[in-house]
Amino acid sequence: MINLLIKDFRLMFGNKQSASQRIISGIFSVLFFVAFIVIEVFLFRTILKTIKDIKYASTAFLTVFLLITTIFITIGNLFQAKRLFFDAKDIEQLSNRPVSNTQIIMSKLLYLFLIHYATSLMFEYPLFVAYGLLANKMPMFYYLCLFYPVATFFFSMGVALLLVYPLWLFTKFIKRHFWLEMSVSLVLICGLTIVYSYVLDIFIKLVANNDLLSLFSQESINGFIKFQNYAFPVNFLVDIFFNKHARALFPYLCISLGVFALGLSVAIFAFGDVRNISSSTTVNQKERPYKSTSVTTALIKKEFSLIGKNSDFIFSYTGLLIAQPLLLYFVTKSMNTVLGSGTIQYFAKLVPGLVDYVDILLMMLFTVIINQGANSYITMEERTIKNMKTIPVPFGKQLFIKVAIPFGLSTVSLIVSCLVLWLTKTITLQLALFAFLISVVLLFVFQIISLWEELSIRHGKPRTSSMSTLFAYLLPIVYAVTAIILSYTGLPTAVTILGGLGVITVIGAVPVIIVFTRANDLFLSLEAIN
Amino acid sequence: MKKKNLLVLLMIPFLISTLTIVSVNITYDLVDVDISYIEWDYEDIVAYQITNELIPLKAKGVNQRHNEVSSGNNLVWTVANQDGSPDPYATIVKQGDNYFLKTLLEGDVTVTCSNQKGNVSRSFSCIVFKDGYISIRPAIANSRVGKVDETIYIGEYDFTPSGEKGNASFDIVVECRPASVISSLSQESIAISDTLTLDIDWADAQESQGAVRVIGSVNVDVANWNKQSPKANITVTSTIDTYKPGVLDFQIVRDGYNVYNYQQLLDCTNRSSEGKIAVLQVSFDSEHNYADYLATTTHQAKYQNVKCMGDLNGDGKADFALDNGTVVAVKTKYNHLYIDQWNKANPNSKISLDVLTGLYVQKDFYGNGHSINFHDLTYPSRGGTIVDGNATPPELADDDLFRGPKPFYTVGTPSGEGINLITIYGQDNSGMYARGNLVINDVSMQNCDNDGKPLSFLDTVGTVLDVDTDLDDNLEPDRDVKVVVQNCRLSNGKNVVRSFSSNLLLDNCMLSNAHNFLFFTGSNKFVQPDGNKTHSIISKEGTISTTLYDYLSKNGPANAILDDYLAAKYGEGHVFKDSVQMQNCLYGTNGKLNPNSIQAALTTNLAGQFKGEAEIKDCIMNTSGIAAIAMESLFNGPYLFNNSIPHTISGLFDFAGSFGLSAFNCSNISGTSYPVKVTLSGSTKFYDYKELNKIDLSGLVHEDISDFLSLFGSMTGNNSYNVTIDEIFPIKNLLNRYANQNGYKGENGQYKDKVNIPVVFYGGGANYSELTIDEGADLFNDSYIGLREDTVQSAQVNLLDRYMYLPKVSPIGLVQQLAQIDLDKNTLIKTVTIVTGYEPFEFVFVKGTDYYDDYLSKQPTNLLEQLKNNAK
Repeated sequence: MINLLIKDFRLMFGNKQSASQRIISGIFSVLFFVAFIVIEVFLFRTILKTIKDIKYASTAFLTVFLLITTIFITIGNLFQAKRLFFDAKDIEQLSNRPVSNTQIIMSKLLYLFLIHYATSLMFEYPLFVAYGLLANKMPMFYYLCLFYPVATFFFSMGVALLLVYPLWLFTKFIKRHFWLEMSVSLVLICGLTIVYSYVLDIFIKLVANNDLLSLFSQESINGFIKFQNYAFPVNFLVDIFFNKHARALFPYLCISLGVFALGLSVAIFAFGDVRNISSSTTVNQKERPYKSTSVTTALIKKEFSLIGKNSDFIFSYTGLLIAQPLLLYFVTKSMNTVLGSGTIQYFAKLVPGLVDYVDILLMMLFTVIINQGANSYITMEERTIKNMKTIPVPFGKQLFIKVAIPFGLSTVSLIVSCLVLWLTKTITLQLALFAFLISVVLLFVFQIISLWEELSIRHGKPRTSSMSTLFAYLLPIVYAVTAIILSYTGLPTAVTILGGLGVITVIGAVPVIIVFTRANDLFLSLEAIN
Repeated sequence: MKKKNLLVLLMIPFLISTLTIVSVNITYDLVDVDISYIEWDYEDIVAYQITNELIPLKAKGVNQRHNEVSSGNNLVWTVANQDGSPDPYATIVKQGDNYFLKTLLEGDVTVTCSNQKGNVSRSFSCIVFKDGYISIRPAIANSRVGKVDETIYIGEYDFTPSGEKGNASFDIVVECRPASVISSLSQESIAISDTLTLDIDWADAQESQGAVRVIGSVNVDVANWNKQSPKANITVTSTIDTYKPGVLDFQIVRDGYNVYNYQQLLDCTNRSSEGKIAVLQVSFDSEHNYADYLATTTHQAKYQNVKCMGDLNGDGKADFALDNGTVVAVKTKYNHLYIDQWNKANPNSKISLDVLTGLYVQKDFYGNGHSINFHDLTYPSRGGTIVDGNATPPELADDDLFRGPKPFYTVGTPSGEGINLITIYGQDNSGMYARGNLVINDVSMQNCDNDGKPLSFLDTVGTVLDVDTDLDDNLEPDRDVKVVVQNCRLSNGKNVVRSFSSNLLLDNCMLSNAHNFLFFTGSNKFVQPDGNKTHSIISKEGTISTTLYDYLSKNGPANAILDDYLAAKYGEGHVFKDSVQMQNCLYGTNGKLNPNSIQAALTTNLAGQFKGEAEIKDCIMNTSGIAAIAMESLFNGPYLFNNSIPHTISGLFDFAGSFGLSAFNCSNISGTSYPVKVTLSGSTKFYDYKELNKIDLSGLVHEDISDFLSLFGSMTGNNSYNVTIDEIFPIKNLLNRYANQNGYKGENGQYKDKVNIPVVFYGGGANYSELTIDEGADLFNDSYIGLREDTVQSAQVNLLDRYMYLPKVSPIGLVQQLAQIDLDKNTLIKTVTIVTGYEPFEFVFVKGTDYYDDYLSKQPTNLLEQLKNNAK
């Protein structure tokens, strides 16, 4: 059982990342978590302090916050369960081991429980602490709250297990149809972008315009109090844990255990079914008629195919490229609003180009981060590296096409982004041009360094991505900070921006020259995989 | 694809906007957050039978923005016999935190609930009965902020639905208990004044909780005012003697219009060319508070006593605009010579001469205790926040109408483009502008919500009440024309009441929460210096006979003298050998005007020629940013006579011109204000203790000196310049020394080390205004206030003394080279004095300890009760 559990942890957390990649990934996870908690607790405390004198309002808002986190955690549970139950390699490994289905299911459930508990505790316990401190709760309250995630597990996981098989079937279906996958991912990305923009807009209006408290009229608070009645299952749990109404315990247990039992049945059935299908079937490769095309066209088509299918379908590189102008617009606009409001205006006044530098930084970061979806030029090839090395096409041409396609796509997306920002008067034309130039130079350097790292992979070890990470994150941030400092000391904004462009070009020129001179050797030393 | 990285990126705007709110920790001196009103379910008249049981009393103190209230806001209950008889008809019993009413004897009592501080309270009338009673009350309840004047006023007229004049009518509720009383009532039971008729059908009576209620309609029709009394009365008497009769007394206001909604309020004020007498029957609150009221009220729409102050637009927001009468523009009568000259020279960026007001009142205004809250008109729509004691100042949105006072003079550009180094303020906008011979009675007005905001948040909300009795617009108050403001509560303004060139009686009012002053007075009329008149003025060559035009010209002696003053240059090679000579030339030494000084040449002696009078009688002055009462005179520095000198300043603007910052030359725009006279009488009290270092002078002048210096500092690499308003007006240290020397600081726990400044004479020009304390006034006592031969002793703050000894600080090298001017931080600070003039400010203190121990501490703690007891 313990071995199974360890295997599941390896399956979910073990990956082919290098140490540096893991550290960076860890840093970003911590950053995300801290940022989320800061925002969550700030909002929650502010609201609670405003409405704490109104009867039932505190628990109503606690219910709303807990409901939102429960929904996110349930969605997380769903994707965890999908990966845990239906990973093809995992099923294949288990099929020839002397382990019963019950043991496998139990280990996976135990894993899911641990993950659910940890996640819930991380995102919900700060709310309990904030609530407890404001309501002067006794230590017993904080102890009892440790059991809250246990109580939510049955309902959340029940819902996740109920939906996991339909989700698996759906993803399996659309993965077989490229255009359908693209369409679905595009619709999802657009939908999420709109939701993001909507939430961001409200948040900025309320917080940056100092209007947060105006949200809470007696009428709206009454609305939240009424809403509490429909916020199942959180309203039951709030009744049990916060209002100490034991009468809510029995109906909650009945409903949540019922949903869990139902979900578990579906998951067990689906796991058995999928396990049988995996061990008994082989995938029929569809025969396609041979079509003669030019080498260049064939290489371009291959690269598009690799890029399009590279990542999880929802957030594919191409989907995000399309969403980039919108995302950049929303984020830049809101940042400009924030920097132009309240006391922060004072700092913006002290540093004349502060807003411009922040806008440029955002464009640089968005461009390279989204481009990271297509920078595994060699890794993506997997077993076809040997084909690359043996086909009678010059390596330069192959590598050029590999780099040029994502570079071209990202550049087009960047141009559209700059146009959107300029036409919506979010930034000036001059700033759009400067930002485009500086981002394009950074993008080019970043791609060349990524190529260098890809060509340097040896002995099946993971790619070392420290250099590309430095260029993707550190260089833009260092540039923005330096520019802000220089601007503070009185250097004109235009000089700072052009100087930054020059410095990035000079710094980037070094790896570019190295790659151009050593590309042949590196390509020849690539190891083919059978 | 690095999904996590993208997620972090997408969270950045949320995080930064949150952090900017959290990290802004400005040390504002927050005003206590008090409850704004008391919410309860009691009707205006309640009846309880004599019983041994305790009757629980329930009420809730509510802050308008639901903020956490400060200490001293717990509710306490009191009861008093209405007829003043010594044997109580009922008493209050306190058990733990709960209050109960215990009925004892048959009679009428007033039950009052207030916060411990006593600045908010509410009462209901209670009939203690043995067998039965009849009560009568208006169907629309009293104001929830309580009445000061117990008289109920009913206007002679109502507005008809089409806005025409119609005889007034209003509904009353007749309540009886036990239910059997109703059978003993008939038309003969009703005794009514001859100015009224009552439509009531006893058969419509409805029973509820043992009582029976009937709604009747009272119609007002006064046929002959000479023969009929404005006092009216309805009495309903049962044929059974043991049942107490019901009585409703009120007063009919001749030519008065009852106001039940915002449109009717406008019809009496802004939309009436000559004005109509308004009699409020409802309160007008902000859109936010009105929504709160609607969410909690149990009264049907017809009988709701709160309406929204403003027209609600489609989004449920209160809208105000100049073109529909919701706001009125009034041409400022304050000195606008500078604006005139600016507008003439800059026809494309003119500054309006109009100040705005929410209610333009020309006839009597009866509030009936109701409130008017101008929040949605006056407060910046990007409202400031206070979370955990951290304050974020409010910001004006582009379409906010109230944007602060008119400029009297700006060093720089007043129109918002370019540099605005210093702006001295002129007249401000107002919530209510009262013009005429009129009475304002028992209204509670505030320019914005009570939410514990720092007083500095009130910087752009304007004056609460601006009065004007200069009807012929000759800048003098008209003879026999006076505005009487009585029984009112006015709060939350930059200044609360402003009276310029007017006659005013403030009688039994409470003025609270002003950024600057609770009462601000002065004259619009002034005498300009005659530039061609010959004066004897000190110069390098000794005292010379010259005209101001010559002396203060570019080639005149003043150019070099003022340059030397700004640059602190005395001694060999300079105009004057020492600072004393310089002081004598500018103004004089030891706070005494030298007759041969520049200031003397700019001044006209107007002593005793009052152009406005105000009496403050039985008032409560509660919490100001600087002082309770300010008597202002125009700033009158040499720079206002000719701003093309001195070279230091003109050179600075020539240099700034290379950055696109324009300078504007104007001349002879100020002068000497005519004085006004203020009399304190009766039991006027000053609840205005504050720590001297927390006096907030930022509302006196607008200054961008800090920003200006940082602009140049960014070029030179020296960003260490930071100028505060306290450096520009270094008043606090001087006052502190004076207060310590004279024992003016409080020594008790609550008021320890705090000072109480009832009056300030303010303005850099000569101030001939007078403060008189009536001999019958409680304050007329040498142990409370410094008296010297029947005049009030004041502390002089001579800024010139201070400025003369300001050391030079590090020069801004590059600017100096480029502009060929000698510029430093202290030069810019001293610029203020050549604008304002050199006359000392004067502050009147009360003797902190004696005034509190022997006087204030012996007053009833319930401030509203104090007003009620004094109500006329």
